[in-house]
Amino acid sequence: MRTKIITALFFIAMFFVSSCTKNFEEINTDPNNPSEAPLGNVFAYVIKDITARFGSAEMLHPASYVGHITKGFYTDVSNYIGPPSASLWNGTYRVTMSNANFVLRGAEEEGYNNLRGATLVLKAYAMQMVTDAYGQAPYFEAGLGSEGIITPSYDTEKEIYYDLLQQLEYANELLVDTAILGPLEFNDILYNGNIEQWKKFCNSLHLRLAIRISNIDESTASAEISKILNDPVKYPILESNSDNALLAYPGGEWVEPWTQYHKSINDNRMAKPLVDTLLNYADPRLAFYADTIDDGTYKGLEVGAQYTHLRSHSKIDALFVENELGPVFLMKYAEVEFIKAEAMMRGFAGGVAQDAYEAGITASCEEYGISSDDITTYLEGPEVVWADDINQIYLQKWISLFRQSWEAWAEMRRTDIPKLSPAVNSSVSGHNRPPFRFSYPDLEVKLNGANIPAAVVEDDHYWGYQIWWDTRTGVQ
Amino acid sequence: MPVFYPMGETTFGNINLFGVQATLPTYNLKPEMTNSIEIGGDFKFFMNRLGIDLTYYNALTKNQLLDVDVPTSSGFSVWMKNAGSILNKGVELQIYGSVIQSEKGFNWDAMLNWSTNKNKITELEGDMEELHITTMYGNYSEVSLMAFLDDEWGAIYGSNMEKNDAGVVLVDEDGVPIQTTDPEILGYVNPDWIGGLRNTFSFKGITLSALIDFRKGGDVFSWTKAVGQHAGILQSTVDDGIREDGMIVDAVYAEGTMLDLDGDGTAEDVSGLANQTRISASDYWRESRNWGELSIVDGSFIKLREIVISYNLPLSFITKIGLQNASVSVYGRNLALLYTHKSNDVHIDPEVSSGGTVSGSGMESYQLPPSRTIGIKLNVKF
Repeated sequence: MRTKIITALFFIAMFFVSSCTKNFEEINTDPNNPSEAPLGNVFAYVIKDITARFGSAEMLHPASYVGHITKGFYTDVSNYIGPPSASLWNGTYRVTMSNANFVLRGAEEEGYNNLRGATLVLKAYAMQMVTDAYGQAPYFEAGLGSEGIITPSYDTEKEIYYDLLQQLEYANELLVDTAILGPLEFNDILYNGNIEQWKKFCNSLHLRLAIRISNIDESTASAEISKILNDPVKYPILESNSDNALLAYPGGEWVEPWTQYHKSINDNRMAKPLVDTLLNYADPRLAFYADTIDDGTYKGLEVGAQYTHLRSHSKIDALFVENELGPVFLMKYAEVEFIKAEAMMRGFAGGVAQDAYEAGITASCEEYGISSDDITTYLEGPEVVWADDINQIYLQKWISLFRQSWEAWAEMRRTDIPKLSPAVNSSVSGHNRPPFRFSYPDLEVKLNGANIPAAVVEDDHYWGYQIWWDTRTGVQ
Repeated sequence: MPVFYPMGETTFGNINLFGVQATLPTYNLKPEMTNSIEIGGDFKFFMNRLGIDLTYYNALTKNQLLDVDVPTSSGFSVWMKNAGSILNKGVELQIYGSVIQSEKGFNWDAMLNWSTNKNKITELEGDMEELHITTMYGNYSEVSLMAFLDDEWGAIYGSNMEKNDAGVVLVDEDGVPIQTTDPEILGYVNPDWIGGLRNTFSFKGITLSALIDFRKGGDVFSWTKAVGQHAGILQSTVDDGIREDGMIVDAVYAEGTMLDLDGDGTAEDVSGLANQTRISASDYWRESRNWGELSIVDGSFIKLREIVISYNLPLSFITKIGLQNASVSVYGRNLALLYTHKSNDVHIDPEVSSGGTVSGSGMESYQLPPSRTIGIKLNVKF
């Protein structure tokens, strides 16, 4: 009897022990914070996260440097008081890079080449924005904290650019529309699993990178551009507005970032340089970018100045600031045509520059549904009609990059077109151009300062040094 | 492996977004070890009508798990690791007693709780001398919550007015206080002590109970105060006619200040002389966000936390209608803030700063005060 009881207890004990062990993982796994996430859902987040760069930090900084929009009331930031927003840095490294690296690892293990290719494109896109704003920055060792790299080393702009070009070359090989879509089938919120369009975005970004270094490293730029433009079968590029890389927001909890920022502070106004140019050119896009003031005219606010009253200067059109659905544009077809036009003029590729120039303007106007008659009239305008001047290309690119201010800022630093001055009430003196770059974020200096190249001396937070591809002379 | 969070409350379109969390996954964690000594006693007097419960503790926690900042360029912003040792010592005291027990049925019971705790970071990993816990305002050097080696956990750290060795504010030739080049400690978030007193009076079936809570010290960085001063919407920005007449900051001129104070037409070195330069209130307050100490509120308070009046219905009546017990009570919570420190001229409830998480402690940003609740409660037992 006693033995039986003990035996029974023993088995009961065994049962509990074994069942406890069996469920250990399950019991100790937090279902709300999984340690494994579906690659596709993380990939979708990478896309969404990159579009978050196009929010308040873009409105506060590059959009005013390029004279597109400016703050009308809280003008401290427009006049360079305080350090730049760290959100481009933190967002790209903390979110884009750690998530993209996770997707890349997983996609490689699973053999999802298309997912790998698409993620490489996104990573290149995000890292170009960082190096264009900061210059030297962590790249090869960035976002690898989970592999033990806590304080990544810094790389030069040239090293970063050269690798990004290679990564895009590789991404274009990985992207094959007959191959397995994998998670791109349901989770591709940019192109809905259309691999051909991913290739177009990939190669167009490749062009963007190449043209950026064309002043400092013309031979590389020329070789990369001609390689792409001479082989459209292997290197398709954006061919129409329907190829544009854009993300529409669903609304509700997810509101397009300019609109989101505008909801909290709506003192942004159209800036004088852009409004004056559009008025001079009788540009039909003005009505889509800007609102009229009470007397029915358009009036831009000088960057750095305060408005006299709420309606003294043109507001940004509701299309951009009262539009919860967006979309956010990562890259547009018009830009590709302007890159082609420049490449043709400079002999990097064959073709008629005027055709590309006019196609770029036409594409940009068509984004807003402007009629072909109006476009034709515009193309014949005195300032716009093709005069074989590369500065016309630069200026039209600047107009078309409205609301893609990071790119507009980089191109303005490369081309020096238009030539703008610093903010009118600048808190710092001794500069004759808007900012050259961002100073490194405080916390990065504090926590990873040992890796910051000693040669980098910050100057008024925004001038530091002209980064590698910025070859302008006489600017300070 | 990193841990993932679902992003947002809702799907993006029809896709669930998942992202890697900001905390770097831990590995090789050691369990926290606490060596603690506790001495205490429970004393009772006057036939148990007075009781005193006193405890002293001294606890050293090693391998303390701490969130250590890492550069975001690593892809993460925080690393949870065994990163230090913390010494906690304190006293907890409870005194309770029946003040009055009358034969006629009137009773007065009182209970006082009081406790104090002091902590010190005695060790930090490697050669770290400080831990950045969270940024409260602006960037790191503006206002942050910090822990320094050999100091109390929870220092509010930020830029301030520059002062001389005697602690007098320094102004420039415009008469405006100078901002420190390096951040400094502006206060500590931990209170000196906290306590509560409950008095309960009962007579026949009626009971009245009141709870008063109090706290001494515990600094709060008040964003409301910082922004309110900057924008000129607080009383302090117009007091004493400064809006109309301007003000002369109680300060001395900084080293190397050149001003023509004696009116001979040439500027002389006025370093160390009492400030005589009048500035407008708006010129002063506009700059005030850089002077962290102006936004610190001493979190001391006395608060009428709760009053309950209850009435037990007479048994004779209750049994008739078939019940065992019935009482009705009226209660009110968060009834009044009886005292706050004079630095709390922005009238925040210092308790709202606690914020629920470690990183929220000592920080107040436009919080709503806790709501006052008043209600009636009926208890019935069948």
